[in-house]
Amino acid sequence: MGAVLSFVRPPLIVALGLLAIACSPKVTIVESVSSPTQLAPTMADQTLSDLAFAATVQDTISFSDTDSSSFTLIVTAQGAHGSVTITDADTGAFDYALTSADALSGDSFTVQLSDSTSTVSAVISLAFADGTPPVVSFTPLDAAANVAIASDLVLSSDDPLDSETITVQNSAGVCSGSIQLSADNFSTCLALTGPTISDLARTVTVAPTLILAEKTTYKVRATDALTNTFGTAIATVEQGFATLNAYLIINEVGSSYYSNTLRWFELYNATGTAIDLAEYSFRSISYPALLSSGTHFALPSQNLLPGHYVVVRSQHATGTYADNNQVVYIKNGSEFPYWTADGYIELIHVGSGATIDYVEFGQNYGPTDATAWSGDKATLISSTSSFGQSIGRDANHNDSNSAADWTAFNPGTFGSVNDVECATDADFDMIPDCNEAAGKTFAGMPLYDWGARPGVTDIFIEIDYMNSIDEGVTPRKEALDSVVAAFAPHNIAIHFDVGDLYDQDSGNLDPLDFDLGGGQQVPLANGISFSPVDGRADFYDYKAAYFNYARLQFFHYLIFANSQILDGSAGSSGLAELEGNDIIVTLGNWGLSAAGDLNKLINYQATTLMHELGHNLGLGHGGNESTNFKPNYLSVMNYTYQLRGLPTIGSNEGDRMHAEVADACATTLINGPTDSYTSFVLDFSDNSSIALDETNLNETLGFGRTGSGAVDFNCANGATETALSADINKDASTTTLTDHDDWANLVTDFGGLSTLSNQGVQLTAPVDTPFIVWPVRVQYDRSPYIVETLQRPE
Amino acid sequence: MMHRILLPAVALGCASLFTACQALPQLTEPVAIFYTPEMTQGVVADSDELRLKNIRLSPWLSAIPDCLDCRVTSRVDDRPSGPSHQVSLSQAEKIYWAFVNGKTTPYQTDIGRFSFVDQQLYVQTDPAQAAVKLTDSLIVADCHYQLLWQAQPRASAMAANISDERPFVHFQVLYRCN
Repeated sequence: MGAVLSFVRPPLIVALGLLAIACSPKVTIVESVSSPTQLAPTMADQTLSDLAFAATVQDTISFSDTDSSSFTLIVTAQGAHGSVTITDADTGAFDYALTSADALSGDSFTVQLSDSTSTVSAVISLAFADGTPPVVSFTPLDAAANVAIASDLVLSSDDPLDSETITVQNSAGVCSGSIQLSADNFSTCLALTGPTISDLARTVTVAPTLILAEKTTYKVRATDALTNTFGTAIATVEQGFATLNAYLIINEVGSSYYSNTLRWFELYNATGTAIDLAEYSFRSISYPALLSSGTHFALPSQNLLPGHYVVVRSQHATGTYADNNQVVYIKNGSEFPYWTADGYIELIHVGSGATIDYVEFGQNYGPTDATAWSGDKATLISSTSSFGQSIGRDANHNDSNSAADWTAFNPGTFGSVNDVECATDADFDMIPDCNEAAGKTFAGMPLYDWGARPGVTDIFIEIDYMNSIDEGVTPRKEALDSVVAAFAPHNIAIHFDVGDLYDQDSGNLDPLDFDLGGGQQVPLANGISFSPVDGRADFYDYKAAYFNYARLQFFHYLIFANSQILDGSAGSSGLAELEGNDIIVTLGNWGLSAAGDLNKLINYQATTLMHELGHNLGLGHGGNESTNFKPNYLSVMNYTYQLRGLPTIGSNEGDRMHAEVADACATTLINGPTDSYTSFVLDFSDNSSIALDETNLNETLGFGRTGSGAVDFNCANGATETALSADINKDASTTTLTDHDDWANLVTDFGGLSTLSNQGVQLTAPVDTPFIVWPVRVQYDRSPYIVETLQRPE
Repeated sequence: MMHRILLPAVALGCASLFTACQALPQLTEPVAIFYTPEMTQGVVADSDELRLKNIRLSPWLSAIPDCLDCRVTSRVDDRPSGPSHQVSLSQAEKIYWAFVNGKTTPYQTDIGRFSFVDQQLYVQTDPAQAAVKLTDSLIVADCHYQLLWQAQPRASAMAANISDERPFVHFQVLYRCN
C-alpha cells in the first residue's frame, strides 16, 4: 500500500505542458496549477513500503500545498534501478518502471515541489516485499508431445527470482540443483548448461548439455530451493514432456493468392545431426500442370544444421535466384510449386521413398503413406490481403499428423521459430503487439529487450557499412542518435543495428549502442546500386549474404556504401525504395571527416539517412508528390533542406531557399550543417505552412507558420511585396506550392499491396512482369526475393 | 556582348593564347574526383592523374598547369544529387586555371555563374552581362572556358519504386587564362 495524498486541493486551473516546453531533459513531467494565494508547499522524505513487484510499480507521493497556489512537481534524480514518471502531479501519482531486478532490494529517487514562493525537495525511498510464493512453469509445457530434441528448457516466474538460488548440475548423475531434467523420473538427472536469466530475472533458460533422445518421456523439476528475490521459496513444480521422432519437419507454409507469388514453406531440422537436403524431395501441386497428383521437386545438396531452419521457395520463372543457407529456390523443368487455399506438401526421403512429413489444407488430398495424416485438413487463408501470413506448427514443432498441429499466423515468421502470439498490430509496425511484450520474442528475436513496445511504432533498421577509411562511409553514432530523436516525439521508435561498431563487444548485445547483433562491416565496393547491370555491386547480393532472412518481415536494410558511381567518385547521397525497406547511403568521396568538419560529417549522415528512410516510408521530395524545392515544405525530404537542415522560423527562414538558388540574398545559414549537430534540425513536415501561390505571393507572410517572418522570395525590393509572381522553386512554372503532413502519412508496412512497392525484390526480375497468368490479375503481386510485407489489420 | 568571341575565332586564337590549346582527347566519362588523406603541395601529375591539395582528378588527359608561387583553392557545393567542385590556381589573387565539376545549376563559381537552359550550358562571367552559351569553348577577356564533359539527359529512369536522386545536370569545364 503506498502513501496517500495528504491534502485536498480546491478547484484549480490546470495548464498541462506549458512548462514542459522549457524544462530540462532531466525533468520528467511538469504540471502548473494556478491560484491567487501564495504559501510555501511542504514535502518530506518518505519511504513507500511493502511494494509488490510489477514491471511498472504505481504509487503516490505525499505533499502539501495548502494555499493551492501554482506548483510544479518534477523528478530531479532518477532511481538507480528504475525510471520514474510523474503521471499526475495533482495527486502525486507516479510510475516506477524497473530497469533492473536489483530495484527489489530498494531504490530511491528525488522529487522537487515548487511554487512561486519556494522550492522543496524530498527523497522518495521504495521498499519492496513479497511473501507470496512465486508461481513458476516450464516450456515445453506439461504433457507436451513431439517436442524437438534440440529444445531448451525455459522457466517462467511471476516474480523475479533470486539468481543465487538458480542452480543446475553440470554432469549427469544424482539429481541436484534447483532446476532438474530427468529421463527416469528423477532417479538420475541429466547435465544442463546455463542458466541464462532475463526479463528482470523472471525467465530462466537452461539447455540439456546433450541433445535429447528421440521418442522419450522426460520430466523437468523446479525445487523449493528456488526463491524469489525476497527469499520466499516456490512450491516444487514437476512437468513432463515427450520428444518427437526426430526428422526433417515441414514447419510453416506461406499464404499465397496471386499466381506469381513465389510459394514458400519452411523446413526445420529436428534431429541432432546435420541433414543434407538432397536426401529429401517433396511433392506438391505445381504450376502450370495444376494436377492434384502433383509434381516431385528435388531439394539441393545443402547441409541444414540441427535446430536450424531453411525456407524452400519457388524459383522465379524468368530469373534464377541463388541458394544460400537461409533459402533454396526450387523448380522442376517448367513446373513450379504451387498452392492457394488448397494444396499440400509431402516431404519424402529419397532413399526409401518414405513419407517423412505431410500437411494438407483446403481439401483432402492424401499422402503416399496414409498414416502421415489423419482427420480433417488444415486451413490456409488465401486472399488479396493474406500476403505475409502463414500456417505453422507451434514453437515446439508439435507433430501429431493432423490439422491440430497447424495454427494460422499473421504475420508469418520466415526461417525462424513460430512464436507469433496474436494478429493485432495496432501500432502499425508489422510486429504483433503481444510479441512486443516483456519476455516475448518475434521470429526468435527478443524485441522487447531490443526496445520494442506495444503502442509504439517500432522501426528496426539493420545498418551494414563498407570497409573504408573514408569517414563518410562509417555511420557516426551521433548521426543515428539525431535520427532517433527526430522520430521519438511522434511515438515512433527507431532501432538501429550496427552490430559491434560502437560497443566493440562481440559477445553482448547492447540496444543503447545500437547493437542488436546484426549490423556489420561488409566488403568495399566502389559503386553500388539496386540490381545494376554495369559492373557496380548489387545491393541485393549484399542483402542475401549479410542479412538474416528472419528479419525480412519487419527490418529495413541499409548499407552505408561508398558511391553509386562505378569508379567510386562522389555522386548522389543516397538511394532508397519508395514504400519499401531497402536503403543505400553513399557519402564516400564527399571529403567528409571529423578532422575537417565533425558537424558536417554527422549532420550529412543524419539527414541523408532520414531522407532515404523517408522514401521507404512513402515520402517523395514534395511529401505526397515529386515537386521538389518547395520552400514552404519544411522537410528533410525537400532537397532545399536535406543537407542544410530546416530553417529557424521567424529568423531569416528563407535562408535555405536563397542558398539553393545562390541568389544575392544568400547568407550564412542559421543552424546550418557546419554548425553544431545538436542545433541542426532534422524533421519531416507537419503541414503547418501556408500554400504559396507563385502568381500571388505575399512576402510579408513568409511561410505562414506560427512566428514566421517575411521572406524576400524574389530577392528584389525587400521582403515587402504582396502580389508577387515568381517561380520560387525554379521548376519553370508558376503554380501553387503546398506543404504536406509527412508525419501523419508515413507508410510503415513497406507499402503493403501498393503498386509502387517492390517488397525488396531484385529489380532484374521486375515484379510487374507476370510469369503465370492465373487466376486473374498478377501485376500487383510480389515476387521473388521474399514477401516483405504485412497487411495492416482491418 | 563585348567579351564573347565566337567559335571560329577560338581556333584562330588558340596558338597565341595557350600552348595547351590543342584538341583534348574525347572523354567518354567525366573526370572523377577523389579525396585522399595525403596533402599535396602545389600541382602534382601522377600517371594520368592530377593531384591538388587532397584532391585527385582522374583521368587527367589535359595539360598540366604550371604552379609557381600559386595558391591552390578548392571549394565544394554539396547537394543531395552529389557535390559540385571547383579547384583553382591563382597568383596575385587572380585565377589563371580552374576546373569546375558542376552537378547543380545555377552554380555560382569564382569564374562565373553556370546555368542550364534547354539542355545547353550557359556561363555568366559578369553580373552586368547576359549569360553566354558554352557549347564547346569560349574566350572571355583572354580567358578560355572549355567544356570538357556534359552529361546527356537521363537515358533511362530508374524503377518507379526507387527514389531517383541522380543529378539532372552534370558538366565539367576547364578554365585557363594567359
